[in-house]
Amino acid sequence: MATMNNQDSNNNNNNNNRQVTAGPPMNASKQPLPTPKTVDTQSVLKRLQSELMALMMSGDSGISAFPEEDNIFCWKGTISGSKDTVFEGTEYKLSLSFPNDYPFKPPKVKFETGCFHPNVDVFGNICLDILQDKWSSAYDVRTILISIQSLLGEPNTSSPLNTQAAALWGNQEEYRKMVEKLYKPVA
Amino acid sequence: MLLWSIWNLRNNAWQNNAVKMSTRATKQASNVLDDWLSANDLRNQARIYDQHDKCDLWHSPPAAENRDRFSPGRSAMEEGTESEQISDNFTCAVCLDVLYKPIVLVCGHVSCFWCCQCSMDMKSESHCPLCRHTYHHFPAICQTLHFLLKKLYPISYNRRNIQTLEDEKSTLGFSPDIDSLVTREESNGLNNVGQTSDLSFENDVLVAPSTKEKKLSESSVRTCSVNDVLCVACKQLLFRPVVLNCGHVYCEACITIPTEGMLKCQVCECRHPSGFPKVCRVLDHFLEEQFASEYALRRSTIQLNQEQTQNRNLLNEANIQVPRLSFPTEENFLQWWTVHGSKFHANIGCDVCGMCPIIGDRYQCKDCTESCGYDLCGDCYNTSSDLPGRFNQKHTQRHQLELVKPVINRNVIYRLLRGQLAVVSSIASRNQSSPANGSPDLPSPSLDEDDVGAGSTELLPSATIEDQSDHQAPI
Repeated sequence: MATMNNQDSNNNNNNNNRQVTAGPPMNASKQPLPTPKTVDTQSVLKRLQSELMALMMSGDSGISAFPEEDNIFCWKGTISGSKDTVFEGTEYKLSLSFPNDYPFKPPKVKFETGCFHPNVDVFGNICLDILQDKWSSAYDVRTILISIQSLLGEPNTSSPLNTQAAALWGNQEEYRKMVEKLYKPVA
Repeated sequence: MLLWSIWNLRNNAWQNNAVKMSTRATKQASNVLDDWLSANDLRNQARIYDQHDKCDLWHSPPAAENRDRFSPGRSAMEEGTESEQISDNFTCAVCLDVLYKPIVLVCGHVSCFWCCQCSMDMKSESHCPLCRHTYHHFPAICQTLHFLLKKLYPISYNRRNIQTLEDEKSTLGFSPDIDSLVTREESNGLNNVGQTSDLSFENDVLVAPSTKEKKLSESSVRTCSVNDVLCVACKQLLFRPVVLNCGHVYCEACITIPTEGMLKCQVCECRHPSGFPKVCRVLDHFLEEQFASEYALRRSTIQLNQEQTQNRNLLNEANIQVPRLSFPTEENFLQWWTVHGSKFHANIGCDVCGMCPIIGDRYQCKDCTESCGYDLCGDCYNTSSDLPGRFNQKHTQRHQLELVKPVINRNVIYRLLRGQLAVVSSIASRNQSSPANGSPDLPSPSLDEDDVGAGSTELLPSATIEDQSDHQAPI
């Protein structure tokens, strides 16, 4: 719960930031600038394109991502459950939407496929520090997906979004059954 | 490169459409497109397309992109970029492009000027994007690296220069114009010839790259020499280079640490407030690869000098106690705020040492017209240096500076209200004598004034308060 609150206030703060500090010298803005922020989407585009290239070249197993039809700011990713975890053999779809000030702000990442996991709620929201306050501009889609993949096998049960899953985590056999029961792959 | 592939995909799509349409005109058009895909001379192509004016297909592609494609300058530039293989060493982890106007953090990690600037937290300590090392000072651009990169990847660097300038125009903020800065120093140098040895030394260092760079643009030589990567102190090839907050590069062994006071750059006399810098691995790897024999020689000579190294290590340890401003954790936020709140300038950075946000006295320039303003922290105000602003402000020493009180930012108030409310009330319950402290309207404009100071003085570890401002010190 604490994390939820945290997230909440974080979001609010972000909104505030956007209103108050405008414009990349926004950051440079040693004083709040009167001029509205002119979004520098060109550099975001470039960065996303380089990421896509790198992702396609890297050939990581178990993760993939690609932009939606015509919008490079919205990606669809997939991760598959790692071997020797209760999620082995399952595959999950995620949506990533990038803000205009990416990579200085994290993308919004959600599970599209339902995922029974202590740190994922019923709406697919993920509680992961690197997607919130521990975000660093050196993270990219690849590291996000790898982190979520490893989060699947190593949940943080102390601050769960899904208390049922957290309670069941101790019993891996039952958990596996639950995962199998609830798993609905996207067609 | 990706653009190209997308472009080709799109072209293929047109071709497919053309097949479906199966008229003479489209057949012609698809032939033309085939030609276009395989041809090298884009301008020639433009002419061909003009001949097929009536072909609708040709007019369908987005005009703006096409025009760009056909401008010879741009196409040449892009081809050139592709031919330049940028080493992973010199790729910025944030923008994934070649480093542009590189700055080196105290942890030794490098990023572009704007990438670092935009990654910074303007209200609290910042963290290195790569290793999360906390820092409080935005370093100056490392000129050695700047000119090295310019020499290694002239085309990519020029492309970034053009792009960045365009971006800067649209965002009303500018990064320092190093090249003109260096020329300015050069002209200053001419006036100062033969004054003190120190000065001429400094000018040597600064002037050298610019003249080399001029030659470079004429002959486009891409190789770099040892002269581009010299230590500013020993004037030999850098060995285990470290970069100070002012952007000057030293060998790790060449840094002399004062027995007392803060580490200062020998060249520009700027203070280095962020602790002993770590070796810049990126540059170190490059040197080891590029100048293998010289580097090995340097290694052996330095290692021979064991005593010196031992001394240095001792001194390094001694230097660890660097004056650092600690930022509050959630628990002690209120305590911290009552001490520093009145001197906390959120979103404001010092234009000389780069401290951001400024904690302590803040002096603002009354004459600088740039939208980002020009500010100094107390220490830099007292040392009065002649450095231009971090964002290319045209500040001169004739400008008037005045002491300013912080604007209590509503974000900070917001944070206090939302996040730290629990802390506030817990403190209030312990501290019954001052109920005003616990009420949610605490962060009203009276926050930085006596109420709070008086109410919570007994909570303050007064021994640790380093109070720099002489006004409104809580007693």
